[in-house]
Amino acid sequence: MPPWLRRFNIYGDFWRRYLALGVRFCPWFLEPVIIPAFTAFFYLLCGGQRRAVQGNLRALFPADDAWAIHRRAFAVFLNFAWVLTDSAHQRSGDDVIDWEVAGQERLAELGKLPGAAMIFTAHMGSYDLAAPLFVEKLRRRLHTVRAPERVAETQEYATQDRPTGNAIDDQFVVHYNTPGSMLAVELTKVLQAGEVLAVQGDRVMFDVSPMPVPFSKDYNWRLPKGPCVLAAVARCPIYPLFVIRVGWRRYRIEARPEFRWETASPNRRDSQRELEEWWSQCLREVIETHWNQWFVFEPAFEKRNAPEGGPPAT
Amino acid sequence: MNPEIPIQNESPAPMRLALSRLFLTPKAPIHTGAAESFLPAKSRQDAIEARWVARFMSVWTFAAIGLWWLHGAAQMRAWQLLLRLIAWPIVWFLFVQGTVIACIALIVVPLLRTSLANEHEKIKSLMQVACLVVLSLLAAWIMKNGGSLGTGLGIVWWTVLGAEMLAGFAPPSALQ
Repeated sequence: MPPWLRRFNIYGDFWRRYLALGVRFCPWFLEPVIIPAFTAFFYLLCGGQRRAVQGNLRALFPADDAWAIHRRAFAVFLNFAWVLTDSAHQRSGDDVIDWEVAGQERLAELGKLPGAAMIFTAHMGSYDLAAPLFVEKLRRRLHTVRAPERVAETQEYATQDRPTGNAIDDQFVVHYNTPGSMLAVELTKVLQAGEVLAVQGDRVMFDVSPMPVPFSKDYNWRLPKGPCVLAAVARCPIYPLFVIRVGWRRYRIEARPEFRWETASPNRRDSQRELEEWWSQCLREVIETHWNQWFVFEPAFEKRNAPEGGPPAT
Repeated sequence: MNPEIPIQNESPAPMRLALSRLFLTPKAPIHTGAAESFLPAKSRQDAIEARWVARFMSVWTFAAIGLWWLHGAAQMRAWQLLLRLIAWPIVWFLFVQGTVIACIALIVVPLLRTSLANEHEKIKSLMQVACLVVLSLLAAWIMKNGGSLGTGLGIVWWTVLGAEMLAGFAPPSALQ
């Protein structure tokens, strides 16, 4: 595909730029008309992503028929569109997002921790959107890990398009998981320096190693192995923290009870297993409640009897 | 972002339209989950108003564009009519998109080259007026050419627009 045409595909920068232009100038009374229409357009266009979301929803709601799964998948796409739109508003400098915070004490505790800490989260809401709030609440530097954009121009746009010259720049550091980037070493250094690292532990992309965890009698969950391995090595406090869209221009930061290493096994392998189970349980509760904003557009589950399947059913 | 407050102290978000202040009751949302504190945005909007405006605009534009697109359906062959019916949602999507893009190209882009470039709010207001003018032209066209259905849809548009303008003259306190 010629480079100029690549910019128009779904991963291209054209759509990002178009959205940025739209949120700056589109009248407020037409925005809620255009966004669902665009969602329908992308829902039809993105067959692979649609099927992946439907597959994930089928694992979450095995009793649903095809029509119900379509409706749920469309709701996921629509929420994703609104999150992108709200993020674009924020980037353009509009202060339009209301925030509510649940788990205030845990956030305060995380802010006051003397050493390193990890935040486990999922692909829900947007960490970009929540960055100013995290900076304000935690008052310490937050490192996040992100998969690079698939198209070079989009990656360039995403890095350029971040707000500059403010506190967020210094306090919110993004590490890209590019092939050959020695990310594990980089992240270990972050934790050794006593800083806070946020990782998304629900999506296996590119060459990330999967960790099959039993989900139901029919499915194994494919979670990324890296975050749990890193956490088991660092043995620093782990806080599950989710950004959830709860309404029109309204989001909630939800800090859930942390993983306690004091009660975990002293053996690294066993404690890692305990952590994996704790995280899958935690994630499961959140995505079963907020299934309509779990933005994983790749297959997250695998059939238990599949040849490449994980451990036998328990 | 405004300072953090306990979530119980959250005040309802303001409404943008005078008609909304007249017909909708401002309410703080029912708090779900274990939310404890709230950080209001500087520019807030009532969610119920946003939903009602979205519904009205979606239904009205879809019907009005349908009337324009299917104009002369009585003289069409069956396959032509069927094709037009299938294309209706696409035409609606393109029309709404096209209105915004055309207004950006004709109003925003020239203004960005002038001293008004930094007057973001003024440009946004101009965009709103321009889009309303386009939709009012559509309303006028369907009133003239759309038969009784077009007249009805046009009257709905002008009534809503007129009522909003009239209600806009009243002080906000008088409308709540």
